Amino acid sequence: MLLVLALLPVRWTGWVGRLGDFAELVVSPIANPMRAMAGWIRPARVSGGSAEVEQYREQVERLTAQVNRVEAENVRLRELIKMLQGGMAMASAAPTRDLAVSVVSASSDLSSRLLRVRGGRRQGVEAGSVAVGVGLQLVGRVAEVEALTSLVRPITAREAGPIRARVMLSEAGLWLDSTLTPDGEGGLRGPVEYRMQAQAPGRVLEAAPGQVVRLDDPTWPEGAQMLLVGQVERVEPNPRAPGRQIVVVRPTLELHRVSELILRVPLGGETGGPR
Amino acid sequence: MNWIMVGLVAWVMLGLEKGLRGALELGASGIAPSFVFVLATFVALLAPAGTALWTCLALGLVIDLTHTVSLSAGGSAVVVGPYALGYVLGCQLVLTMRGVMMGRNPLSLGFLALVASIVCHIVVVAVFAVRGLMVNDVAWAASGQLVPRLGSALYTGGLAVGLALVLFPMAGALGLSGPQARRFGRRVS
Repeated sequence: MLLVLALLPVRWTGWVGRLGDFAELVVSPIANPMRAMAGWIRPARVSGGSAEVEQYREQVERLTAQVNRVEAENVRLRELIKMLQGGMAMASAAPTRDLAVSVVSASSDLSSRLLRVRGGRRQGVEAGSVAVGVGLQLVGRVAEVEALTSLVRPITAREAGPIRARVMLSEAGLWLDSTLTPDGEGGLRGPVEYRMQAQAPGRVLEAAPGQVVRLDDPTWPEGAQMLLVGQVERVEPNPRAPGRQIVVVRPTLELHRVSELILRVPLGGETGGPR
Repeated sequence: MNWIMVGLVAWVMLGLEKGLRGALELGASGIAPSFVFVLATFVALLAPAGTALWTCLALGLVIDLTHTVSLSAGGSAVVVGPYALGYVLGCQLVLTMRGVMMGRNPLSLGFLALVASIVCHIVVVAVFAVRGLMVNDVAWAASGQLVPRLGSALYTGGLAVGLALVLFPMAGALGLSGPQARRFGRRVS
């Protein structure tokens, strides 16, 4: 019977999910303090620093993300103006509120990277809401919402799929686009795309270790754009395209180990869909 | 066996497993120990065969229920069966081997946890692989499972040696006095 249950399509065994919710409810009272203790013993932060430094770092990160978002918005609006001239309607970005949630537990299985957080439908969480960690590090998106808890799929989970990002070059206003895919080792990797930029005509731009990588993916909500994806850990030659680069990006947090998150929940019941 | 006490210990072990997995994981390798499996091995080592099998089945079911898998089409789901089957087969292996092991030796628990954990992971991977061939609705790939699962089995074995120091003194409270002594043949009466 177990074998049959294990092989049945998920759509026929949906009722099992309720038993799973109940099991999670029973385990939460002990798993949550253990997770908090684990976060205290071994914090998720990759690069250490005092609380004050962390605060300043977060402030700088917030302002940088804001400036980048405004710049990206300017480019988008210019394109939109062109489209409006053709009579197309303009969709406004949905406002969001930040909801601080704790991570209750991870999945029992080694192959799953989903994180269960304490915040669900009753708190206004919706599928697709963006999860952000300390230092405005992008953690992932809400994959499923239940009454009191939700499941967040980190960007580094194998099943999360590729994301579009910008490798911000040290020179202000210049960047390289890249499509990053989870490497299964807590990082992301992908080829760098070379596109002539108006700010640097005729110049060869190259990615280098230490450069910041930010989200620039139209399939993600507006509030997630320009959030920190991570830092370039190393640059490798692209074997498929000689002379081109592949970047390996490491988030500033170990995403599977975070104990606190902020969910960007759409206000007024609006779904925070793609921009 | 004292079901209430074993249930309570299982609850604590599950909390430890789900709460501390991230902290005990080796980097981002996916290699992490299983507290619940150590308990399952401990019960399989000391409880009567029938009781051990039912307990392992229940523990495996709990792991299945708290294991959320991502779906290919988005969202997530619970798949019941892989771990329940894995735990039962792992238990069967311990039941077969416990007659030739030193019953209350931490190293015995460690070794049995290691080999039974390998069996359990093989079953889990096999079930998901067959499932992938029949109904490909779960985002799960068999590739890349070998190293983390083998590493986790080793880690679980190591953890079992440490936990044995806590579990063996608790055996009396859990109502686990050890397997019936039948080393030299069947009892006549």
